[in-house]
Amino acid sequence: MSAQITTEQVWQQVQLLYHGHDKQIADADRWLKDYQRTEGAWASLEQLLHTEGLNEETLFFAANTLKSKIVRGDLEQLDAKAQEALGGSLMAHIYKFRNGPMTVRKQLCLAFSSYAGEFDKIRSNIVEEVCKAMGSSPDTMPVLLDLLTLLGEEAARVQEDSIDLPPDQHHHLYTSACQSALAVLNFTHQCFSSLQGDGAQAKQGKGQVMTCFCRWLRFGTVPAEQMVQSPIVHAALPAIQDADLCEAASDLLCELAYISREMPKGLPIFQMLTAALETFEGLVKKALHEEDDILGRSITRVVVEMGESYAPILAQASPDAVRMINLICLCASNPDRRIASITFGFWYRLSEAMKDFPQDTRLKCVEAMDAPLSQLMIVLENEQDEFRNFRLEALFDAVLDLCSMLGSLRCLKIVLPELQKSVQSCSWNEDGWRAVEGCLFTVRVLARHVSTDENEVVPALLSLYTHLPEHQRVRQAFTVVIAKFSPWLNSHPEALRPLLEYVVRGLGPSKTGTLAAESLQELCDDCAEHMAGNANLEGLMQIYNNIDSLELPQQEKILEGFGAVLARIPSEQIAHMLSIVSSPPIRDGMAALERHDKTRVSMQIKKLKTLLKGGVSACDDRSGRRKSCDKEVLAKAWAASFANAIGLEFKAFLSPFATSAVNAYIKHPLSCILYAVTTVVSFFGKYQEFVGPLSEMLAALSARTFQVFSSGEAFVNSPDIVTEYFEMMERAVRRFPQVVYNSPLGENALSCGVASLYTKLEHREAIRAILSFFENVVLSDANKENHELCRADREAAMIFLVGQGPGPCGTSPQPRGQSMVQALMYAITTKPSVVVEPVATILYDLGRFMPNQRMEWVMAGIAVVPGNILSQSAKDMFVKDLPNARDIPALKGIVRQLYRNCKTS
Amino acid sequence: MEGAPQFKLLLVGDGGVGKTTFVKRHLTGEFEKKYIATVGVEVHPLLFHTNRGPLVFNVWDTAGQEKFGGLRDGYYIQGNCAIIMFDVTARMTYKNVPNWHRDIVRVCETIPIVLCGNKVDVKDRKVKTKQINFHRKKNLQYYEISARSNYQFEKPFQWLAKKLVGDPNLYFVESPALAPPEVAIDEGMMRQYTLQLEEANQIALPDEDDSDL
Repeated sequence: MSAQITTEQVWQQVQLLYHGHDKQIADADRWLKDYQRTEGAWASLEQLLHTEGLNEETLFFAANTLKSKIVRGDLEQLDAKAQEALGGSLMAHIYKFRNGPMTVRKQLCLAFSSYAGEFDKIRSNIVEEVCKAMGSSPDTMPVLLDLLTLLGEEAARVQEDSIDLPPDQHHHLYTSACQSALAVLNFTHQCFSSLQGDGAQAKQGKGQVMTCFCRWLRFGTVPAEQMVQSPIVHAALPAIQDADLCEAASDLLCELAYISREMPKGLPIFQMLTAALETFEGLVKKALHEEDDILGRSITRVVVEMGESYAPILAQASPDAVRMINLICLCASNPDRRIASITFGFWYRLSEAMKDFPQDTRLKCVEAMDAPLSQLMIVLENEQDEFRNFRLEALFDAVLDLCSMLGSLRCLKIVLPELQKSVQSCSWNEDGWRAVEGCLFTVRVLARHVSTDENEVVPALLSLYTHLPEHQRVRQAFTVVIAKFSPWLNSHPEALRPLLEYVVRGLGPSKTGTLAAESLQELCDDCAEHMAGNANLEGLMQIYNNIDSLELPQQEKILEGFGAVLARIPSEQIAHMLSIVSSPPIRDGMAALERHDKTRVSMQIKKLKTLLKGGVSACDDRSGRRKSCDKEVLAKAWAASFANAIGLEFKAFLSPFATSAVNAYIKHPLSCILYAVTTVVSFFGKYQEFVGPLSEMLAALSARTFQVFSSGEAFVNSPDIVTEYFEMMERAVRRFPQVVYNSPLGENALSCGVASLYTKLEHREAIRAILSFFENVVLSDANKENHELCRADREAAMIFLVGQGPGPCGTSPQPRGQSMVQALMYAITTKPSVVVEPVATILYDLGRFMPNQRMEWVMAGIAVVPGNILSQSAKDMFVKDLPNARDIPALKGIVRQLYRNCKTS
Repeated sequence: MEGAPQFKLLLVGDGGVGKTTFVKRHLTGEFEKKYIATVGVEVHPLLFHTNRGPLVFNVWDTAGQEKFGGLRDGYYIQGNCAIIMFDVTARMTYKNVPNWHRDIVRVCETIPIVLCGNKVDVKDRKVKTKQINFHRKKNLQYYEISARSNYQFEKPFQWLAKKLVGDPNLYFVESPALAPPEVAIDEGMMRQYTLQLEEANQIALPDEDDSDL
């Protein structure tokens, strides 16, 4: 960019930036950014600020750019003399624009603040110099106050940015501010004393003084004892009632509370502010009575800031604690929820502070806190999002914070009479339902925190359902409340039935219906055992039989819940029950298939899937609460019952099922999905027409499984997946062996099995599953009834085993059988004794079908076992004894001996 | 669009909180899959139809990153309203909200301002709702949004429109055309997910969109 830039050019570009169209703005933006960096900009900016008649935008840009140049360190573009002169020039500009425009003046003040920070590297007390230069004339007092206010803000900001640095590395501006703070505060006192009367100008001046004073308190140079004597502080207390001054006054009082939070340093201010609590209480009441939002907001800010700053003192049940808490409760009762919500953060702060103190101290403190909960039972105002957000985001947390301090039972005891009262009032007040709904919202927040043993309040609360006003919003609220009490209902099944009926009555095409379906699902999940009882199950069956009349999202919730309940049916009944449940969708789906009604088929598949999903996640969930080993048992039982109950009827759904299973497994690789697939493979693998889709499904599941097993640790961490995967593959080998050997399925599974034996996996079930897979590959006797087929299978297995595959742990390719035997030898030396028997069986079968390869592979495998694990003599003995072991017991004997030799060495 | 009242809206917040993503959700905007830092400013005129007629927000999408800062608060002059955005998954971006607020009020004094917590779709949330108090003390409106899923996209604009027009009953009569919502997972997860889906699609099975079992 040329060094010769005219002010006219700058002016034009500024106009384009603020008023041009897309491209003009972008071009002007680029031009002005480049311009800002130039050395020549200093002179043209000076010129611009001296030019008369320019519009505000150009002047603002000039002032803002001056500031930016100082902040970014462009002062170095100026020589020392020009640098020093810049201070005077900035002051001159500030003086020129002392009466506005405000935007220009502020930017110049900020430029001066940055300059002061830089300049004080060379010379200190620039702030005091400015006070002297501009503080003597009433004409310059407002602009000086403005300048000092911004200087204070900037100094505090730079300190925040460097808060972690040691004092000698603090920003110059901060250091300078600390040095000048006393002088500035004295200056503000001088200004304040010069402002007489209540005229508009005097008030404006007082407001400015308070703001400036406030900004310089954080530098900590004035002791608290002295601070409380300040006439400005004394003036702030009554000024809070003055609409013109309340903002500045409340800012100042909040700042005083904040800086005095550390005791005993802040004690004088704490005492002064707490002594004013009675006055504050009067102001809060006045604001409520006169519906004065400005006063309400200001006084609420002050009281809450006190509460938050002094929370550790309040938590120790100080004499002022009850009073202050009551006052904050009073503020929380402000019908203007934006004001009320200012108090919400306080409950969190207090609940956190209480954690540091003993229980008995806390109890004294919470004595005072029954009131706020009543204040938080805010009636339903409207359906607008803002109100909904306010409730769900702010109110919800505030109630929970109170709950954490008071305890849920105590909270419920406060809410119950309020709820009863509001229910009664509905008989004569047609708008009374709003209060009922407000109470129910609070109950809903508390419900999950109530002990399931509670026997006093919850029964009374839930029995209110017969007296509730018939209003959609009340029904919705109570429906949700019932769901939230589902863990309690699980412990009190006698109360379940009527409440279940209440929920079910809400089902239908509406928001109430959606909430009813969600609640029903929660009840099914949490009270599954009781829901599986005859009476409730009958009701659920009725809903299930008519489920098509409900909206799809509702159907899904109910089906999932129903699945969870079905998974709890005693094992002797489940097959029968599942066939009853599954036959309508299967029948309907088959009919739909015939008429090519794809949507209907999908719908019925979805039904089955959702039921299955509900059952599987119920098993999963229950295992979380029970012993971990239950998980597999439950999920397996459920999946097996389901697949068996559906039986061959399911064949029409096989392909969609495969897609669903694969997609589900890709999303959540859970072992129970593999188990469900194993069941399906087991059943359908017998039929040639299904082998194609089944093997494709297995390939996809294998690919995802290998992603899971990306490291050795993954095998150790997911033994359930190892187990289920190899059981699934074993089933595949037993159902369609040749397909497995002749496709990547076999090679991948074998490589995976080999790799897993080299990991630290010690899970017995998992190891057993891997070895069992190997055993089935070697034996390949699934079709032993059919000699010809069996021989073909074995030949395929032999070809498969002698075929080249990847060597273990990334070594060069070698026969798959050799990799397998090498892994078996390694397993004998490192794994638990569970390996002995299957390894012996595998070696025995290998000896039967491939004696030469067995010897060769064993010798190669045992040779790589390190000498410190197995001595050479032990290795030699094993190789020598192997051909002589002619039956399984003999083989077991020498393998066991090998195992012992490893353990003893 | 001609004749419709126009308002200069300042969109500010730390770099990477999703300002550009947010503003580009509207109509022509395409969701930015990659993060490209805004250099200086980009102005996007967004048209909304209200029960009081159409209005245009000229959204000044400013650079959040210091190094790309451009004119920074130099853009704020004559701003009519503002959105301060932070990212609920990055604490520092919330911590800097007071700085953005202070810079705005120094130039624009008492304009209506909305605070927006973006990326609420991401599971690993770092700034909890109860930690967000700044708006209460400064009398700002707060909305949680998700630019990716279009969640609450209109809300900040509607609130600002109400304040600017001075009509608390103002509402949008038409939903603006928005880019289709994205799934609620992060980019890394998204890539992995896409890969997995591709693998799954290689097997010849009938199409079915529902992946839940």
